[in-house]
Amino acid sequence: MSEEMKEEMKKLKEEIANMKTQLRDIAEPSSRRGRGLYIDIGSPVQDYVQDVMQGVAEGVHGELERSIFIGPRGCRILKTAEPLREEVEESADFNKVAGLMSALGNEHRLGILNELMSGGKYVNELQEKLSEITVSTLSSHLNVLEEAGLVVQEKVRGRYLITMPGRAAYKMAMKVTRFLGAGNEE
Amino acid sequence: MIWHSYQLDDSVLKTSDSLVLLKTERGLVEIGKDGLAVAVKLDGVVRGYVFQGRCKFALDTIVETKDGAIGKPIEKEVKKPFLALGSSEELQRGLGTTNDDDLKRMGYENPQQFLTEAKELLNHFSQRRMGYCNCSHDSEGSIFAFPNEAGRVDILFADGSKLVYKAVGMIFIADGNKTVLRSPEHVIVSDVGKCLTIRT
Repeated sequence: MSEEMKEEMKKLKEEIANMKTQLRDIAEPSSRRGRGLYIDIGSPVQDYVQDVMQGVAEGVHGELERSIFIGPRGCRILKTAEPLREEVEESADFNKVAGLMSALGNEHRLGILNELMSGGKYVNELQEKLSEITVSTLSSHLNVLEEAGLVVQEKVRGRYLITMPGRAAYKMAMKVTRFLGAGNEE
Repeated sequence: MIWHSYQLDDSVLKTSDSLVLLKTERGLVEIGKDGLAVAVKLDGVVRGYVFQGRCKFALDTIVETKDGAIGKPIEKEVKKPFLALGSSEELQRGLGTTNDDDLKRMGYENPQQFLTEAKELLNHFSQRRMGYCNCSHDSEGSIFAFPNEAGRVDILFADGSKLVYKAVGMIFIADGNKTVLRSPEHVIVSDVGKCLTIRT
């Protein structure tokens, strides 16, 4: 037998020994490597799979950070959080925002919005519901809300209606309050 | 019935008291005392008037949706001559003869100047309505034509709870709780509890 043949036989024996080891691992998976199938598929493939898995993990993590808001009451999916944040940063007119918050920043005005959430009302109907304030004070609060675009008054019938921004602002205020309340409880 | 067959009377009248020309849930047209008026006739029958004076025009072009109200009310004073077609019998009782002082107060030297303005408005209205030659107002409804800043006329048709308003950049249609509003920003179709909003 030539030297070349001997070398070839040696390699084959090594491969058979390797295969035997792998077969033993399959037969006794938990004894040495924990649960699951272990097959040596070579380091280049392993590296590749690891890279892919790492990329996927980073992608999922980034997506989770953008899309899920975790609060004291659990987590909420907020798919548009990123585009919204960019929009606010680009177009925010803080004077306008402050004006809106100022219009909301009164318990009686919030009470008026709360009453209007169930439908349009005349001044006397609002007066009945908010009996702790005078008619002139009520009128003044309605003017503030109207100037901020949160309510609108019909010119013919005279009813006050909550506008689309008014409803959104009221809901936002209530949500933030609930959120803060939940945070304080914790 | 053809719109351009309407003709103006040749005598100028005045409102002896303020007159409510339209009052519905959504719309109000009112002309104050001492306003000028000229009758619009069809086949010799008075079918309306061209008025000029302190006119208050209010219209609630607001659509109520479950997400809140959309639209704004319109409230303006109409100073130029405007057309009002419709129930005219009640109006006739609220009109009297005019004099030079009444005309001067409105900026006219003589009755003819007012009649010329009124005729221009009627012609403008009639020409724009030529496409609707078979259109009539035989119902109880009222039709108003208000000159606007764009040199055209805004049209308001009202019949009970039904109302159509066409102005520059907007159309508002209401039939009880059913409303359609077309503005530069939205097209909103609303019925009781249902609403379709299209942002344009």
